[in-house]
Amino acid sequence: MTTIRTQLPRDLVEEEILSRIPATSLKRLRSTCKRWNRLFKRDLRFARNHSDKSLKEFLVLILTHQFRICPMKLNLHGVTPSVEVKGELSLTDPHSNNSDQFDICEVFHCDGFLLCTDMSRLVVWNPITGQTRWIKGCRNENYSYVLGYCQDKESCVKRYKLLSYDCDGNNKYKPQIYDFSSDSWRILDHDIIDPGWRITPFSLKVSLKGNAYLFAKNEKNCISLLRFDFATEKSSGHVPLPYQCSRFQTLNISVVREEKISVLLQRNRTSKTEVWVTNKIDETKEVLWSKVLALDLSFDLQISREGRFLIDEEKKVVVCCERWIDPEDNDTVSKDMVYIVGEDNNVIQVDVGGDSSTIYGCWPLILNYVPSLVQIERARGNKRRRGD
Amino acid sequence: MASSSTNKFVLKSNDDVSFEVTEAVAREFQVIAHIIDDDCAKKAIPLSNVTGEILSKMIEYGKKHIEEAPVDEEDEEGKKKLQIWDEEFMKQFNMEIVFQLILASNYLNNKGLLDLTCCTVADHIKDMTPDEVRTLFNVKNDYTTEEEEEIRKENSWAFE
Repeated sequence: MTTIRTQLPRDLVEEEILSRIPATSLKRLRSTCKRWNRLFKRDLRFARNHSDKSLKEFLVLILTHQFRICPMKLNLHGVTPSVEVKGELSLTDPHSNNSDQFDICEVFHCDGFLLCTDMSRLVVWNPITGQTRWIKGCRNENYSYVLGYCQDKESCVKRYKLLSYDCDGNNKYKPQIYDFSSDSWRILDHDIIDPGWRITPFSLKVSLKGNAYLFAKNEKNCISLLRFDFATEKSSGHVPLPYQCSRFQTLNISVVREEKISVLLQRNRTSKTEVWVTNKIDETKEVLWSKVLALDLSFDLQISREGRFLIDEEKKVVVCCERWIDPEDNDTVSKDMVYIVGEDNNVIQVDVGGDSSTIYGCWPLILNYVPSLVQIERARGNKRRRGD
Repeated sequence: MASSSTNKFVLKSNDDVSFEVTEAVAREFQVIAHIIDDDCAKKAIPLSNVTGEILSKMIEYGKKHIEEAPVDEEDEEGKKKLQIWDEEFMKQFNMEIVFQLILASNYLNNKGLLDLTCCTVADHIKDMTPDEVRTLFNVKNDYTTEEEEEIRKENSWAFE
């Protein structure tokens, strides 16, 4: 490489150049020098500058049957799309004496953070910086959890929060909010949802621009998307689905490039599976849906209510992930499958592993992931916590 | 008072090359805009940190961004056209020149050109090894071999 005579001052290099390099490349460049390592790992100011200036990367992760999160390389170009599952991302269990990995049962993405849960614990994790916050208390099988944030209009500082709510939608268990700055839970004494509505049992959920979106149902069996606002800590309105139906065979949700919402729905077993995408979500604008795909999918694919999906709007391709169980022999043969389907209804099936001898193990799940250097704010009064 | 399209100013580089530009082009550089506003721009404006070679390129960029400025925020086509021009514009330079353009656009305070040149460098180095980046920015490796190996391992990323 030719040497360059012109030297740039450090401020310019850090504030104007490094801040524009994708988060995954910065991770690799951490071994350049000690200063850069610190800068990319735990510098709040640099992280904010980076989030303003760098181009967003859109990656795909898969939660495998072995309770691990792996990057998934999805190539939708060319005649034959391909899928490649990479090595797992390491999340060490702090309670293990042998540095064992934490067994993740469920994962939720928000703004570069992964909220991971097992049966008894909750952790918020940034795989790029390696920062974690193990959340005390509240983990309970009756609760579902979503991660979101509210943003100060002037300083643009994001304040992250967790919402826990009754996963049955019965409201038997009061919703609670976990605040990262106080490192504690508090019970909400108000309803988070409008009267007459309830969150659908075990609703799938996503986070977009800080808000959480969940499916909710009213007394007339009308289903819509509830928007939970982390600033007011209650619903800030509903997004009606493209059309009404009292019961969907399949009803699924996904985020498109961190700016739109997509739903995959099917009325009944014989109807088409449709994928709809909104316009760019902006609280000042009305949400409009457009249909991107209408597919005739064989029932044999076993795409269930819980099977997660991703949509490539430009290529009009949907990617789903499901555990496939041999209908003849459902005790012994199962596989984790990724299905890639385009407008022509041609289904490409890729076996991404899974233990063929048992149906047990984690249910596979694919999700969008946008790597960032985002930091978990340190809890007030705690100079340093274990795992921070 | 003459309009900004007819009013002319002379910008003079540190190697004594003079460029006559319209007021609008001169105002593309915040520092020069301030000089004009302070009414200190009677004669040629000397720019002690910029060579003629770099200044001519900066003026070319400034002119283009005045002439082809998108009509408004919604003018996606106009923005796209200018973006394509920017990309082509940057292709002619080696890193030495890009670095000089960064220094000059920082000095004369042209945010658009600073953004463009810094993006070009960011894009150039994003796939480089730490060693290559150290050479480029003259950064000293203050890790021991063992430490470096440990950090490297810890941050090997499964996507690559």
